[in-house]
Parts: sequence; structure tokens; C-alpha cells
Amino acid sequence: MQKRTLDLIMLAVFIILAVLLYYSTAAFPKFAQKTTANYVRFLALALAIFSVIQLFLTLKSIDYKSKIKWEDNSTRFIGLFVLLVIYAVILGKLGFFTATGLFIPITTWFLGQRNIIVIVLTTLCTLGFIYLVFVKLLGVYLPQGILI
Amino acid sequence: MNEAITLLFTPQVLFAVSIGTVAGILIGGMPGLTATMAVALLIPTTFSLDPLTGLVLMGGVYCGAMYGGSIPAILLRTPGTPAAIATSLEGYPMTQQGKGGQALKVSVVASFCGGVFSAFILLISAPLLAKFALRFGPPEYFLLALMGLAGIVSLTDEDSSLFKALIGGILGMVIAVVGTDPISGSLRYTFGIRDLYDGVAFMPALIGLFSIIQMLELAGQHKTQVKMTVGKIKREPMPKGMGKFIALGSGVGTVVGVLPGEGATIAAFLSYNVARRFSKLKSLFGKGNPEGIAAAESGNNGCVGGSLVPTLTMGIPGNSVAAALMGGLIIHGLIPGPELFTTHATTTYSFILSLFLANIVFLIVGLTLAPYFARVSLIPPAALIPVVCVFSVIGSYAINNSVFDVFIMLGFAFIGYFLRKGGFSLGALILGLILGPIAETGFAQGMIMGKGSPMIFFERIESQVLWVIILALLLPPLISHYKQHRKHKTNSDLNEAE
Repeated sequence: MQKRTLDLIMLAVFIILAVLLYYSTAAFPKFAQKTTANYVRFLALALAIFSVIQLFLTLKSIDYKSKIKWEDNSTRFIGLFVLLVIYAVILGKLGFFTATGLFIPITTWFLGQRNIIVIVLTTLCTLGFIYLVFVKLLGVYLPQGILI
Repeated sequence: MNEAITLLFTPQVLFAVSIGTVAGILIGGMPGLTATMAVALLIPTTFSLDPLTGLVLMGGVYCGAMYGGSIPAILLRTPGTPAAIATSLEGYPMTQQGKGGQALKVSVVASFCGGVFSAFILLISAPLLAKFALRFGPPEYFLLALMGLAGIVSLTDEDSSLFKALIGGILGMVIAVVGTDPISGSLRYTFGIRDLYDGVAFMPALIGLFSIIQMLELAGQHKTQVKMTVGKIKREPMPKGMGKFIALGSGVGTVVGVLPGEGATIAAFLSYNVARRFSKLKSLFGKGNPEGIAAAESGNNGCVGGSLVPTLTMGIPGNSVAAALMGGLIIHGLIPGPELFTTHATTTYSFILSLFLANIVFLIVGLTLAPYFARVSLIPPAALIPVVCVFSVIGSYAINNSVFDVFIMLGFAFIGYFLRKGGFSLGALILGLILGPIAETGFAQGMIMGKGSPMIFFERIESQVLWVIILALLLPPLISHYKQHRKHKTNSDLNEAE
């Protein structure tokens, strides 16, 4: 994808957002109209003005052929993000320690580590550290699920 | 002040400073992990500690990480933090010449001097500035927030980054509008989601933008296995003539740190460039000149104290690390502003004094153990990434005990990644998110004071001074932007004529 295309898409989204934001202030309570509603209008106007100026600069830019450099290894990049989303979803259902006990070894393996000892040690040390420091020492409440 | 010193020299606080500093050196020494991430991830661990212990722990991490980044930069040409890139330009060639030990010594001494100088400036200037800030009313706080945003763009000079930085800042302020209206108490843009009633939590956003994106990018790199060795390091004496460059870097770093929005990377590069201009050995720059290391390291550590001046006195973070630290202050019930130097004076002064101790700790550690610390950068990313991700999840969750905040973190990482690819400033976005509530409350209360007239933002002398500063921050990049635009236009006209 060309940088200019991404720029144009994003700026169009910002301009639409600015317009929606501006008109949404009409629904603010009457006594907020001269205070916070005006502040939101100020932000909407600033966002719209800066986006239009940037849109103009992007359209006039001579550097329109340069492409966006995505990550070299997109499989790992996307895979890690998907694993993180799954981790967040199962966190509340299985509990922190079970979810983390699955997330660390799977992710470590997925990112190319094939040494089982490194994977097991990384998982156990991290879980042990979190249990001792966060749960026992600091008393931080971590998500509980159907397991632990 | 005596009370602050007594409080500082309790075993618990001294232990926290030492642990924080050593942890900071280790985290700073790991490529991909930044000081912002370190402080952000540390905040949940400080929940159950008393405020001072929590704060000195974070202060120690900040100081340690700023220095720690230079060790792998010198020995492995792998800067641990972006602020250490300038150091690697001179440090690694010195290592190749067998002068790695000397480079490490220059780095730690310069970092120490820069850190101590900036902490001293913080100690003497912050109470004065706080006294001045007492005169500020709501209109001035609104203008201060605008000043914070103007600071972000003051050093951008790329063709289109100026307006993108401003858009980033405004976007952050727009996101900060979500939640309960501070004047009417009504709900805005929450879409019925109860977790959004208090607004978009700042910490998950910060962690998503600065920690998760980095981990995703690290995972996406072609090679995730680093194979390097740290050679034997000889202990060598400090080269002569470094004082001038350390003083230069300390001054530049502290001033850059005070400016809202300017980070340690800019401080280090600016100090490095100034040193090159004043050096008698210009030709040696890039080939292993210790003067460059002295300036860059004193510059990035000088940024530490400098960045805390506007953070503690006015609640305007000097850079993203200071923003994370400000989050820690607020969580402990210490609201930045003049009150920190009156009601909470003992805690605040103890915290400032702890920065001196943190500098002493990393000086001792750096002089004795630096080469061993370089080995942390050899930890395989495949093992490091999942562990950092887990700590990021804990950091986001533990603020409100909410899984929803974990999704907020992932959402910010997702959107932030594309914004970054598009050249929009994530630093500006996070600063906008922090400054948003200050700006909104200031604006709304100012409008009430002015009975609906916006002239209230121009009438008082304090407001006029702030407008002058805002213009002074915005005009140079605008002029530079205009000149570049003209230059590009002339070049393209010439090309067309040919």
C-alpha cells in the first residue's frame, strides 16, 4: 500500500469523525452548551482544520509513490496479535494462571523457540514470579476463572 | 527538608531506590524495552506500597533505564533504548578499537553528571515554578495543556509531520472526552458500556501504544534470534577533556527535558550535535570519539530531572516516561501541581532527593558491573516477547481490575500501529489523552468565569505569557515547514522545466 493511500484514508476518517463530533454536541444538556459542548466543538474544528491542511499537503506531495514498509515477518506479527486477543478472551474465563500457562509456551513456540527447557523455564519462572510478587507480596487481585 | 531526608534514609526506601535503579539498568539494556514501558509496567506493582516507596521505585527505574540503554549500545551496537542511539555512533567504534572499557566509563560518569545536574535543577526550580503556578486559574490550565501539545511539534521539521503531530494530540484529547461530563455529570460517547463511565483509562492506552506495539514489531522483525558475544572488557582510565562536553550535554538535556513533549532521544541527539560543533576533533566523530558519548549520555540523563519540572509543578509531563510516572503519582493520590510542594512536600522532596541516590547507585553499578549487564540484551526475543506481553496485560488489568482494560490496551495497540505507519505521533496522542481532562476542565471553568466569553483566555497577564510561549513553540516549526514546502515546490518546478 502506498503511504499516500493510507494517509488519505486516515484523514478522511478524521474529517468524518470531526463532523460527527461537532454535530453530537447538540445533544449535550443545555447548561453544558457554553462550556464542555464548546470545548468539544473546539476540538472538532481543530481536528477538521488540521486534517484538511494535511489532506491538501498529502495531495500536493511529490513523494506519492513511496510505499509503507510493513513488518518483515507478517505471520509472526499478526499471529502474536491474534494470540493476544485469544489470551484476553480466555483470561476471564479460565483464570489468569491457566490462561498465562497456555499463552507463554504457545507464543514462545510460535515465535521460533524450539528449546523445550527454555520454554518450560520461561513459563514457570514468569508464573512463579507473578504469584510471589503480585499475589503474595503485593496482594494484587488477578482474574479468577473456572480453573485457577 | 530535614523530614524528607530522614524519610529517604529508611531501609525500605533505600532498598526500593537500589532495586528500581538496577531493574531500570536491566530493562534499559534490553533492546525493545523502553523506560516508558518499564515505568508503566511497574505502576501496578506499587499499588500496595506506600506512596514514597512506590515513587522512588519508579524514579530509580527511570534513571537506571536512561543509563542502561548505553551499555549494549557501546558493546553490541544495539541501543537498549532509542535515547542511546547517539551513544552507539561513537561507543561501538571504540569497542572495536579495544576501548570498550573506556567508553563504558565515559558513559556512566557522563550519565551520572547529567542526572545529578538535572535533579539539582529540579530541586531548586520546581518549588519556584510551583509557587508561580499557584497564580494559575482555569483559563491558564487550559492554555498550559495547549502549551504541552505545542511542545510536541516544536522540534518536528519533516515535510508533513507537523500537522500529523497536532492531529495526534487532538485525537488524544478527543478520546479523553469519552466518559462523564465534568460540568453537567451527563454521560458522553460511552455507548452504554459501564467501563467507559470514568473515561478511557490512561494506563492501558499507554501500555498498548508503547509496549504492545513494540512487542508486535519485535516479533515481526526478520531475525528474532540475536547471536552476538560480549568480548573481554579492559578497565581503562577516564580520558581527559570530557568535562566541557559533559557540562554541555547536561545543560542541553535539562533544558530539552523541561520543554513539554521533548524526549530523551532528542536531548541526546541535540547534545551530540552541539558537542560535534564545539569539538576540536570533529573528524573523529563517527569513528569512536568519547566526546560524543559524554555529550549524548549526559544529555539523555539530563532529561530525567528536566522532564519532571513541568510534571510535578503543573501536571504537564515533559515526555512519555514522565507521563507514565505522572500516572503513578495520581494513582497514589498525589495530584501534580502546587499542592505537591505544600501538602505533600515531604514525600515530594524525598522523591526528588531519591533521584540523586539513584544516580549514585547506577554510578557504582556501572563502574563495576557494566559489561555483565550487556548480556541481558542476548535474551532471545522469542522468550522475552511473551513475558513482556503478560506483564503488559497485568499492568492494564490491575489498574481497575478490569478485563475490559486489556481490550482497551489491544485496541490502542491496533489503531496506534496504523497511526504510526501513517506518520502520526503516538507521543502526541498519549499526551493529548493526559492533557485532555486538564484542558476540558480549564476551558469549561474558564468559560463560566468569563460568563460565556472566550476573552477570558486572553485577558490575564499569566494567560498572555502562556500565549507567547505557545506561539514561540509553534512558530519555528511552522516557518521551517513553510520553507521546506517552498524548497520542494522550487525543485519540482525546476524538474518540470528540465
